[in-house]
Amino acid sequence: MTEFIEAVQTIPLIRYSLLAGIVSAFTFGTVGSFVVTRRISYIAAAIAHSMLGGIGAAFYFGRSYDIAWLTPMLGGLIAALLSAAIIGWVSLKASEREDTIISAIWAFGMAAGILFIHYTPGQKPNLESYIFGNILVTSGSDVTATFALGLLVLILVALFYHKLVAVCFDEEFARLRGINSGAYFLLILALTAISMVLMVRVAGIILSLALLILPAATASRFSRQLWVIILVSITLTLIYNTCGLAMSFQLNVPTGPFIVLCAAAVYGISFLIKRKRA
Amino acid sequence: MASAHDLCFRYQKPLVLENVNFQIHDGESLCVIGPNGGGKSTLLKLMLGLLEPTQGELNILGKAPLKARPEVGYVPQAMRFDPLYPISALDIVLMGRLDQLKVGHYSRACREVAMTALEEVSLADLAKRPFSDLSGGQRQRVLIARALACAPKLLLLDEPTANIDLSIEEKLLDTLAQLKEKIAILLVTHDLDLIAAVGDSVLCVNRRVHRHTLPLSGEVIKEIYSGAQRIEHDRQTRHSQGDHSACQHD
Repeated sequence: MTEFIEAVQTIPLIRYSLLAGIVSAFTFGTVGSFVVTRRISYIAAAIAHSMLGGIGAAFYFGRSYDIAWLTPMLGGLIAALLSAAIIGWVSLKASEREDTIISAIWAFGMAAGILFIHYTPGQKPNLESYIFGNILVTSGSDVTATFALGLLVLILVALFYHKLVAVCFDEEFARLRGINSGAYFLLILALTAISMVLMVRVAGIILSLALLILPAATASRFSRQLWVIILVSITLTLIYNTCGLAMSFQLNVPTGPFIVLCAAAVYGISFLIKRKRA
Repeated sequence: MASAHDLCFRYQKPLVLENVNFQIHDGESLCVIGPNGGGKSTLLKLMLGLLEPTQGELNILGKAPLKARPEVGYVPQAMRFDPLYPISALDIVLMGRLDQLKVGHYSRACREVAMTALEEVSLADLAKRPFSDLSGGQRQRVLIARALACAPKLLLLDEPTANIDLSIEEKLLDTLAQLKEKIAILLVTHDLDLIAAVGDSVLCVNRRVHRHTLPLSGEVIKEIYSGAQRIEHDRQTRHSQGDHSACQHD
C-alpha cells in the first residue's frame, strides 16, 4: 500500500487516474442510478459504443486537416450526444422499433470508428486503449475536463431532480402537469452520454459502461429510495475506483478490467443476500 | 362540464370514434363503459388533450382540452407502473404539484397539499412507504391522491378497480363515493359495483357513444358487452335516432 501512496505522490499519471476516478464516481453514481432504475442500460450501452465512431472521426479529421482542437474526447462527446439524440427521438416519436435503432447505432458507431482509424494518417492510435481503457494515457487536461463535465452533470441533476424522477416514473403524467417530458428524457440520455465520455480515457468504453451500471444495480437491490441508491452508488464507485487502482497497481494487472471484475463480483454476491422486500 | 360535438378520431385508417356527441352537466359523475378496443381510452386521451380530434369539437370545463389540463386530475391504472421503481408514496403525490415547481425542491406549501391529498384517501400514515411495498388498492389510492394534489375540478380515472381484489376494492369504492360529493368524476370501468357507487349515468363507448341512465337493466348490459348483440344495439339505436349517436335508454 505504501508503494501505491508513494506512486500517487511521485507519478503524475497515477495521480491523474486517481483524481479522475474520484471525480467521476460522483457523476457515475448519480447518472447510473437514473439509468438503472429507468431501465435504459441498453441505451447507455449503445451510446457508449457509438463513441468509438466519434473518437475515430476526431483522429481522422484532426490529423488529416490539422485541426488541433478536435481531440478524441471531443469527438467521442459529439458522437455520444448525437446517438443519445437519435435514440431519444426514435423512442419518443418514430414508429421504428427502439431496440433495432439501438443495435444499429451500436454497430455503426464501432464500424465507423475502426474505418476512420484505418484511414488516419501517421501513427495509428491504439484503439484498444479506448475500448478497454489505459490509465497511462490520462493527462492533467483529462482530469480538468472530467471535473468540469462532472460538475455540469451534478448541477443539472440537482436543479431538475424531481422533474427527472417524475419523467422516469410517469412520463405521461409529467406531460399533463406541463413538463416537457421528451426534453427531460433527452436530458437523461445526454447526461448519460457526458458521463460515459468522462471515464473513457481511464476505463475505456466497455468498462465505463460496467462502472455506470453495476454500482447502481447493486445499490438498487437494497434500497427503495432513489436518493439512497444514488448515495450508495457513489460510495461503491469511489471504493471501486480508488481501491481498484491501488490493488491493480500493487498486483501489476490492468486497472480497468480489475475494477470492473470487482464491481461485478460485488453485484453477483448481492444476489446471495435477499433483495429488500418488494 | 364537458361536451363533444360530432367528434371523430382515427389513429390510421378506420375511425376509432365516430360522430360522438354528448354533454356532461356540472356536478354530474359519469362512468364510461364499453367493450375492449371500443375507444374508451382514446376518448380519455382526447379529453386530456394527449390526442387531437380528427374532426369535431371537444370542450372540457368550457375550454379546449389542452387549456383545461391544469384543472383536470388524471388517474391512470396502477398496474402500468414499474413495481421496482424506487419512489415513496409522498413523492408520487407531490408530482401533482409539478406545475408549481421551477427548480430544486418542492415548497412547504406543495408538501402540505400532498399530505392533505394523502389524508383524503386515508393513506397519510403510509406517506414514506415505497410504492413497491403498497398493495394494489393502496397504489391506486396513491395515484388518486396525486390527481387530487392537482386541485382539480374534474377527475378522470382509467379503470381504477382493474386487477384489484374484491376485499381491497371496497375501500377504494368508499374513497371514490366520498370524492364524488366534492368533485366531478368521469371514470372508465368494467366494474358494475363501481358504476353503482359513483356514476349518475353511463356513457357507452363502442366507436359511437350512447348514453344510459342508471340503474342499467340486464338487457342493456348484455347489449353492451356481448359481441353479436352489440352490433344490433348500434343498429337499433341508429335506426331509432335517425343515425344520431347519442341515445337515451329507459
